[in-house]
Amino acid sequence: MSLWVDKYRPSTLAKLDYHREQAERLEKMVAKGNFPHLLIYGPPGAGKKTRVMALLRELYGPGVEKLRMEHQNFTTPSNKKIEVMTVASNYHIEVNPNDAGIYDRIVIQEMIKNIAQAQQLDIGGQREFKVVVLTEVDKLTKDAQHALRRTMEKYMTTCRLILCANSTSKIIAPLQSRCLGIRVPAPTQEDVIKVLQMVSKKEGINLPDEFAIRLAEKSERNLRRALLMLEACKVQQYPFNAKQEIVEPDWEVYLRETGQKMVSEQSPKALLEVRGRIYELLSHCIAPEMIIKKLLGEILKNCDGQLKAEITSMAAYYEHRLCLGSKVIFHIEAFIAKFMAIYKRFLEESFANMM
Amino acid sequence: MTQNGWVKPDFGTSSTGSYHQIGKGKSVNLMLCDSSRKKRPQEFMESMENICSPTSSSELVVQKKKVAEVKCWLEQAFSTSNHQARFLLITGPPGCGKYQTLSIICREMHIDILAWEEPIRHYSATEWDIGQYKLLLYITLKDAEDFFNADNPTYRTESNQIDSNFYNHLEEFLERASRFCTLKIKDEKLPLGPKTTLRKILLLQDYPPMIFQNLERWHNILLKFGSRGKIPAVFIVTSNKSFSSMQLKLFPHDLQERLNMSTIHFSGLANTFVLKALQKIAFKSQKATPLEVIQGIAGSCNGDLRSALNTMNWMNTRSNNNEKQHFYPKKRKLSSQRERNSSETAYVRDGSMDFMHAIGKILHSKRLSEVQCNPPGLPPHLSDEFRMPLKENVNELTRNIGDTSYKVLLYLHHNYPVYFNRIEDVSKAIGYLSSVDSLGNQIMYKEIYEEYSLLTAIRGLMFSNTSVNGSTWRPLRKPDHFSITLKQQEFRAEMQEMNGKQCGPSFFSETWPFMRLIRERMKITSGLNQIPQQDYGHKLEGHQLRIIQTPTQEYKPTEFEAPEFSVNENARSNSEVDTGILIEEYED
Repeated sequence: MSLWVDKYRPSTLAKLDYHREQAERLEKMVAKGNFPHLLIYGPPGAGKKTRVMALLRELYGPGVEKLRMEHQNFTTPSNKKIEVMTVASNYHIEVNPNDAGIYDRIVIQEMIKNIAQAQQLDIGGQREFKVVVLTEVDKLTKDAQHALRRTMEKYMTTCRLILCANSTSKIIAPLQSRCLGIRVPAPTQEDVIKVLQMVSKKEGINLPDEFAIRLAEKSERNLRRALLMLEACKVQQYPFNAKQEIVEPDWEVYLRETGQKMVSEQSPKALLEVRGRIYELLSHCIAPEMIIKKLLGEILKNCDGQLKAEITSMAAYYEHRLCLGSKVIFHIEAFIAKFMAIYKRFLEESFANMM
Repeated sequence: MTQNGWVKPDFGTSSTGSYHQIGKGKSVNLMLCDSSRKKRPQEFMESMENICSPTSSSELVVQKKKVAEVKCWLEQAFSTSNHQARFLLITGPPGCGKYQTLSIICREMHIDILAWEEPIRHYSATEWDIGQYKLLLYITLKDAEDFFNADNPTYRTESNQIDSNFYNHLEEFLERASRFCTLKIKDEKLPLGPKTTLRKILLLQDYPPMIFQNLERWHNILLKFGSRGKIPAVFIVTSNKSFSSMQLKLFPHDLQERLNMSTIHFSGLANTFVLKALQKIAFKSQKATPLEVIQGIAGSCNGDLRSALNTMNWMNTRSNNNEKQHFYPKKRKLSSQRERNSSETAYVRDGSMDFMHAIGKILHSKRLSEVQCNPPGLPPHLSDEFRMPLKENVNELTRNIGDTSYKVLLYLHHNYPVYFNRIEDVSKAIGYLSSVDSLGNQIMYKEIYEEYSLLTAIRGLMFSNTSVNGSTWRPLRKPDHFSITLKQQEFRAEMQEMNGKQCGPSFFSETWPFMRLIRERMKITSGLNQIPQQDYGHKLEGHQLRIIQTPTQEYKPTEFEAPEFSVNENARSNSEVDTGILIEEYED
């Protein structure tokens, strides 16, 4: 059983549902048979990966969809062995260098070297280069990014890189200038509704417009999320009711409860309890940035105007530190403690005013 | 060697001569086992050993129960008629008498010990410590040549060769140990009956670092010995905990099961035991050592009898040199705090500050209660920042903590909220920790930064706490950090295996929660699972993975088994802190 997200993912550039103009440009570029390194960036759920795969299919034909999983081993200079999972076809290889943690530089260099040095056999008009898809490039260490810069130039003839990222802000300038930047903006609400309707039609289910709009709103213009929600709602209750409750990921519900706990009690004991809940989320691989963001959204509901600004800047400050540091819990906890202290002060002041 | 030889200030060990000295005469009688003998000059140790080594199992200061266990095992090992090799693993902190217990019991039971000694200097020669005799055995002619040319630097640097050599020798040793009888040498003093020569056990207690580079081979050797060896084997692993990472690497659980290995864990000696032993020895040695000095030594040795003996030996050195007026402080006159401290420093071990103790001291930052200093001189708007002087010397505390800043930070972070009463203070404190982490993570400056980060964190925490109160007991727990990271990795790996693709952050926050929900629903609707689970999606407590089997169970913050990591050898944790806080035992 595959999810609708995967089932109805457009496989060619021509079938893409939105950003048509961009899709046509990409088609033209591929038709020429050659292209520079690409840096594809945009918010989550906008369709970056879909476009990359469509592009590759356009380039190499359906053979690119025969994927196999491989575990590659690398040895660091300090003799530590690291294992990285790659997904590859005959023509391309996809890797998330973040799996190697701080050793991502070695992975990048070794892997690209291996791929680039093996010349592509010229069978039936194949391209003379292979494609390496690197995901989550904005999480790469600076070290690895600089290494990538050299590697890119060196093996330009035999391999092309496609980098995927959420934002270019964490990618060093030399890297940005060596790639053709392609921004994939989030789909508009109308786009999302259109896709939702189309999928429902293909599935043979009836989707009321009103409910589709609610889904699109709730999805925050994240198409993946919208489709997943649609499917989850369908298994929950069908036929749809316009006022039906929209299913949310359980961890968001959990985080909302956590936020309410923070608002209801401010003490070291409460902090310990909240820490336990944060640990729970972290151990399920929820991204720490996401935790801070959602938590902020939740607690802002309970705040005054001026307090909102103060707490938001606090969240930004600690999210930044989180990116610099290595122990995420320190920073999330610092944010929580700061909020508790500020909120407690606020409560005491307003209480004193009332008297 | 003369009785007074150890008094000589000559600390140099002759590099070639000591080879034979190690295997000298009554090696089994030595109170101080091999590792210490290599480190310290031979003469220094000599006098104590004759006096203080126990002669029978009743004299051992080790717990009677443990002695009985070892004895029982040995009896069982030899009771079976088929002489199937059996394995025993003895663990325990340093200096608690593991080797001594074994050797004494073996002597009483007329069992010979064949000990493998790591040939540190020459990888070409294997020493056979056969009973009370030690033979140097050159395995091949080539090795023998190498042995004599051991100064040849190229030979030493070829680590690979050494590595494989080491394994070859170990294997050969194990093989021959079970195949050949002990040689009977004519000038044997103890009459060995024909029976005694048959009863022998194999002992391994040195694990050179090479083992850890090729653990597989080590395990294979053990398995081979398990199937072919004919004599019981005893392994001694020095570790602070009943269950350490080193032990786990050397003898993983499945291997232990396959070898049918039994384990006996020795705990560190209680202070009263050490005290008794020292008193007895002091009495025997006829060197009057004042009781309070003995008590001091016993108190500071952390259950390590060997080090306690060394310290006492050292103290006696001074009394021997007729510096008695220095040694017996005239208590009534030298009653001031400073004087006492100076005499204590002579036997208190350096840097042995209990890790947990230090953490407790930092978190429970005691301040002087009376103003003994000048008025603060702070402007009124900064008066909040005024603190009384600290009781502890923070720099010293930081230096003595004796562990990596990484670990200290994690411990401090995990335990600090319990020590705070006000959330404002907590927010300040965690702010410091956050700064330390974000600044200290730049790899380039990591080493330089290490000390600063530790100091910043410690001072920050101590400064932030404005309401340190009383004598409530607060347990210190080990940080969850490690278990969480491990869980994360496992979870990620599982998801990747299951999905056959890479899993980015959006997978875990979007795809997976919905996917699980959808699958769960499908199961219900298709009648496979009749239990209605209306609110399943709203409970993360139910976040166990039902579709694939996974060890991740419900999250219970305090009941984790954190992955093992090395703990400072001296970090024993069941001591009573002078603040009145009893620190929770670490093993817990």
